[in-house]
Amino acid sequence: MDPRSDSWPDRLHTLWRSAFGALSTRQLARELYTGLLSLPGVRAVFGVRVGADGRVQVTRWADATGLQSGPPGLAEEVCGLVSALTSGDPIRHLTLAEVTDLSPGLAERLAAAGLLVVAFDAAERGQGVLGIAVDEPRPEVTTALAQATEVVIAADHRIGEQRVLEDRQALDALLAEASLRMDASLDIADTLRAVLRMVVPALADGAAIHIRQDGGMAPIAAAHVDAQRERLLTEHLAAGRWAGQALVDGADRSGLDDEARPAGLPPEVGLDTMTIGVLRARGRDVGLLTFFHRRGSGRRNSTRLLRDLASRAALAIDNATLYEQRRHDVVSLQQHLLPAVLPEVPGVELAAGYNAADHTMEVGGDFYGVVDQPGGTVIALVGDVCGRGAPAAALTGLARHTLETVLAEGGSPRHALGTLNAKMLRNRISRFLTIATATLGPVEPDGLRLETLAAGHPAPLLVRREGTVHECGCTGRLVGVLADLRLRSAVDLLRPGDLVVLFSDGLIEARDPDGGFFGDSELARTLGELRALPTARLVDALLTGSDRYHVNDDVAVLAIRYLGPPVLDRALPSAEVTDAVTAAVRALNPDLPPPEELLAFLAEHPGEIRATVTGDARWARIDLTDANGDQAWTELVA
Amino acid sequence: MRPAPDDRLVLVVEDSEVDREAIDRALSRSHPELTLEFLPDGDTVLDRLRDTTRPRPALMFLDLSMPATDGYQVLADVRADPAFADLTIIVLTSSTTSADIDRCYAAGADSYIYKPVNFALFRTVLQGAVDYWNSTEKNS
Repeated sequence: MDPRSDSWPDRLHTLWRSAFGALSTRQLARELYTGLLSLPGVRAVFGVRVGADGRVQVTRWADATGLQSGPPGLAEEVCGLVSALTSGDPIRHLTLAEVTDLSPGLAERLAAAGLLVVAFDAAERGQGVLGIAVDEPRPEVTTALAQATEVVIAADHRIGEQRVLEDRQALDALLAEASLRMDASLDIADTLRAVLRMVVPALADGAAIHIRQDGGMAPIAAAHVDAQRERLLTEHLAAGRWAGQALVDGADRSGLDDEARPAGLPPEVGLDTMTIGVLRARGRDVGLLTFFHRRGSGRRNSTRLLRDLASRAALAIDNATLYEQRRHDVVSLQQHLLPAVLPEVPGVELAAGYNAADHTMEVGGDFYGVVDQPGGTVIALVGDVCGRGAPAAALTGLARHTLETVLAEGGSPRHALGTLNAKMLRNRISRFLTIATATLGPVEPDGLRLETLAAGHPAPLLVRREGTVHECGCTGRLVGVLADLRLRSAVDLLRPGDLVVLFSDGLIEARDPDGGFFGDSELARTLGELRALPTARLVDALLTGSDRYHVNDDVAVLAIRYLGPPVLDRALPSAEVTDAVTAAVRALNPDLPPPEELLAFLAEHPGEIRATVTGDARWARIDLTDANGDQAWTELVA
Repeated sequence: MRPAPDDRLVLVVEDSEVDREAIDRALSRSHPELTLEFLPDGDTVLDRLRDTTRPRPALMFLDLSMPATDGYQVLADVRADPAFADLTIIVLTSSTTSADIDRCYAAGADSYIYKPVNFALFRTVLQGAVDYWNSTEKNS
């Protein structure tokens, strides 16, 4: 209020300005009450707001001591007066005796000979009352009260409209936030639980969601404003003790209109009515979304939001279901494109692994295989078909079938690759593939012969038992592009303990957080450090990027360790293992150190142990495995 | 002698000034009859509740994530004193994870309210919670 203008016309002008800027009647109250109190002969001013349920919601009182909101006792004192007034009637002048008859407590509080009072309709089906304690009803005070009432009604109306607008904004915001959540996650149960938390208590006192599982509807989440009653709500819904159970059972769809219906929950839950929305996706009921309300909650019907939210939830459930189905199909197809098990080859330890790209839901074209030829030669291969999806999967199947058929009949890898290349060119297959092979055998006096080929593929890595790593020197062109593959093989000799690692390019292209490639230098270092691991563990470590590099593409890895003929390969009682292993190691070379680090394992695993000792005069490997698959190993160097 | 709770007094324990302002703005519009008292951290909640010279709140909004004494600790401390069993505690948080909800319920929260970013929705949430507890006698 401008202190320079305290005349009623100036105050009224200010009031009108405030009426169109106020966000609540509280902001208007001080100007209104002090303005009326400044009128001649006015002892006190009070205001009352009554809700649609008849309960007094707000009281204010102003007198010479100041303005109070909700002064003790006033709400009870005004009840008699309020019930005697009718909204829209002209301003009444009541004598103190008349006030005493209606509201004796108020009469005592007035400290005046009479009361000017008026009632008016307020927003949300409420009622307002404005009263002025006066000794005599002066016309200018009556006029001021009428003018002040007009201001309050206008402000209340505007604030009411503003609230309707904000309520709409709140609904839109809830819908947007819920939609965002549902779009961002495929964990549909968790997401829908979060959505219920947004609904309660913004729109409902309770809410529940059922989704179709195993042919029936099951409650997956419930929320209640009251924590204790939330547990009760959850229990009663699970037990079917509510009016929507017939709908859950699929027997009755009569509750599916926009009207609130009795919830049928036990009274202890405190939720009396409900509205149900069916979640439908592609013509199928996939769930139910239910809003619950307590009696007299006075909330607006949120059917529009219920319907919108239900349709979005249905879509989210449908998407999640489709995603899961497709993921299952992809995993299943991928498994069929890879060998179920690798052959067991004496003197060789083999392991393979596959990492499926995490950013796509299509079958990848990487593959691996091991063929054990009739003459004892073993051929390992890792390939990579260009692209993803069904066409890549089809070519993967063709490649594996062609290569393994030729190899199983005794053909060489060079011949198998030539056959596949010719077939692809003959059939005008537009895709290409890359492949690397490792042919093991025969055993020669100094070790096992290794011949490698790489047709447009990263060359296999050779990890020597001393820890050095080098790339096999084989080269060649992509398969399926040109008639001449220009394959140049590399021949090496494996001693016991040497490893050969074949992999597809997704491994070397894995990046660390700084953008560095796994294949730049870290892969060789990692292999050197981890070479002693059992090959299955080594493959796992590579596929996880050695816990630093993010392998997010399809990757196939195949690791082969040449062990040489076993000196010991027996299942023994734990107590006999040390002697047997020591004897086997001494048979290789009496100067090899005793395997003391394995004693702790034997002490902790008293049952039967499978013990193997392999190697030569300068190097030995000891592997111990108990009945549960627990392993210990060590390598000894002379 | 401990004073009876004042049904119109609401204690808001919230470290964020922005959120305190939003709660004040929201509740002064939806429930102008309420008197709001704000505490910017959880450290002084017990002292405030035990102050017999001042009216006792009937309802408390409690932010979970606060420095020093967080909302979980305040919840545990207040519920450990049977004198405050009638205080309705509404937890305000931006988390909707089941684990957080379960933890709050186990610690004695009466309501677990998600704190949305949108102000109109926040106002609606606060209004719904206050309306519910105003109309319902606790533990009835």
